[in-house]
Amino acid sequence: MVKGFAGEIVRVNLSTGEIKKQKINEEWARLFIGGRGYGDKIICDEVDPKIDPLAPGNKVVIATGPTAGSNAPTSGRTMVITKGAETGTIACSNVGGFFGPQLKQAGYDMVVIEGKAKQPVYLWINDGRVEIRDARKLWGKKTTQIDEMIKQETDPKARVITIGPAGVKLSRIANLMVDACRAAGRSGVGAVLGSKNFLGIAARGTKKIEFADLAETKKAIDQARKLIRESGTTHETLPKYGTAVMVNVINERGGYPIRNAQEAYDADAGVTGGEEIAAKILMKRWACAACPIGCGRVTEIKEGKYKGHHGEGPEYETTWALGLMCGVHDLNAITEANYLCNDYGLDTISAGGTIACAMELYEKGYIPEKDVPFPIKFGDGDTVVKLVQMMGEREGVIGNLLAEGSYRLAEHYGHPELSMSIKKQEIPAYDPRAMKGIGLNYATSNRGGCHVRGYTISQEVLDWPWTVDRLKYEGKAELTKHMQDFTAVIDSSGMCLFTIFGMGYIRDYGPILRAITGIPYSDDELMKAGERIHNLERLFNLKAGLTGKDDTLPPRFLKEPIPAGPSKGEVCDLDRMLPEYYKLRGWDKEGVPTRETLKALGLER
Amino acid sequence: MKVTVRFFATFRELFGAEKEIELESGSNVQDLLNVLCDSRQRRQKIFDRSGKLRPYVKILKNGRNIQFLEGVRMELEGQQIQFLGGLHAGLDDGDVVAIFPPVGGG
Repeated sequence: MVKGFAGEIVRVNLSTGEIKKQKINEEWARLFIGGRGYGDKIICDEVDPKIDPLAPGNKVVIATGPTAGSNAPTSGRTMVITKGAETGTIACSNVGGFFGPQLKQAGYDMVVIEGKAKQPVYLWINDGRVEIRDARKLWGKKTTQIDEMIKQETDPKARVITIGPAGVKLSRIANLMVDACRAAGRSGVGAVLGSKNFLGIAARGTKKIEFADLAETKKAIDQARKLIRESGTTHETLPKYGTAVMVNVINERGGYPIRNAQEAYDADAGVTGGEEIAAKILMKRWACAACPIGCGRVTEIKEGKYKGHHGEGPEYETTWALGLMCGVHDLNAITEANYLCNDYGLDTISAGGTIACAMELYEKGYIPEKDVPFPIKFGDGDTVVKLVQMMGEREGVIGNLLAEGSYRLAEHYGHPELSMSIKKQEIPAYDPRAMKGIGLNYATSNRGGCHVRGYTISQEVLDWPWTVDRLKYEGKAELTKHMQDFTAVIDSSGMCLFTIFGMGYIRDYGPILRAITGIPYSDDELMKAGERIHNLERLFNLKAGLTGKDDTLPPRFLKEPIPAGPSKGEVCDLDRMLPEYYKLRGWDKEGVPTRETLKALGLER
Repeated sequence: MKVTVRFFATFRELFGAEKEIELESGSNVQDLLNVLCDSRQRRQKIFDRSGKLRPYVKILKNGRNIQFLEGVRMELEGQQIQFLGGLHAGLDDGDVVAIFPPVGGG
């Protein structure tokens, strides 16, 4: 019997009201680790890849990893796996907070949501008991209100995950909020839950998780915590300045996408960065379950028209997306827009990327004046705040289109090339022209525009745990594959990707997983599991109808050189990396895994 | 010649955010750091006891990691020698040098 897992999955069929329990499949725990990998396996086995993501036949797996409930650093992650509403690809959105360990201590490693409820419901999981509850009173309320109201209805100590008004209105960029302040943000997982009339889950648990070898578990966790303590990044700068410390880091290299990525450097970008956040609005740090880092920001706006408003954020991606991506330098407006996204349950990256796209479409004259209630020009923070509200409410012509994400918006106005998205998901805050490896990762990520599927920035920019030249193409195929496979292991373990800033190698994770689960996988076998997970996701996407042609970037990054700044003149020439990447992956020239590759990974039919 | 130096994150507490430094023509990054590290505390932050740059100190010249820049080229006994970049990377008037502690996130 594998340890570390609670041992059971609970399946909730919303159409019939049936609740079923199922034992954890030990073979899958070995092959797919848990969390993302295990959830992928469920979705790939049970969901027709061609299904409309918003149809009742789609399923949602809400999963923890085998480390959840332990004291392994950052092990409180929750993963949401489904067919994404924005991308149409397999989606796995990963989030921190305190829900994961509560779910597991309540007796379940995962919840599988199936079908569609007749009216809005939520789930109350209390130490093994699972109950479907009426959510009509909560439906469409702000996430912060829902969090409080559900705790009143259940248990003040419960931990809550919920969609907000954006998910209810089926916005394709709707997220799932955890503890009302952390977000399973990407790929539109909130819309999938909304389509099922499913609001969220409250969980409360007190069970102890059994580990295979308690002494070894303690030893491995102590070593991991030591590595995190010894890293200046995880011990000092991340806690002190939060993730937005990256604003200057990336801007100084000329790789900070500005005004819908028409530019990549801004001399004043620092006014939206982590140093300014710490000086102007930070009230206190916030750490997720079992996290020794504490990069979360609890903030309050101290001046101007939003004075007195408080909440969480902004993170690096958010201060960029709602900031300079829209040409905005106003930290207070960025923070207000962030609070609104959290309340509506909107992904901040996609929200900002979509508004930026609308601004470029408008400034180029592609959006007629009749479609907008006011000019939507780059640079005005209050415009961004108003557009987030309209997006969250689907208000008016433009609000309704913004809620669909940038690709569908730009396509509607006849210019899909102005959507800075890959596989219809908006890029995060790294210009792939200035960091070639992240361009290859965007192009090949199984959920489209995303940095955390293969964070090559670690080597290309942060020089950790080794250094490569960000402007060179050589070696980027291998680096991208390595980071994608490595990340699949970390995600599936249930730990946070930020541990890589202290724990840079698989050898730092293997001992924890072996000690907790008792599964004797070697470090090499864990990396192979990461590769298996990546390929499994790829197979789902290919069956969904995507092809190698979708492994690309918006034409802007391929053809338009960066106009000014430290990376002036650079483009991202994918053709210099993609064929080598396919070869290293054991895929054919069309990007399809060969029979031999699938056989070697144990994925052949 | 004048170069602009920018410090970020925790380094700002010790060095300030930005300053202009006057250097002799032909100076390199090492020369610049020698000027900047004008106290024991500042020097210890950047260099180890043996005078080597601490591995966590990240330095950019005009946005490029100095590790990947070329150093000065000189003739030695009739042969052209190209030094590697790093601290030997040469500086020119108007250059911007950015200095970071270990950072991450994103």
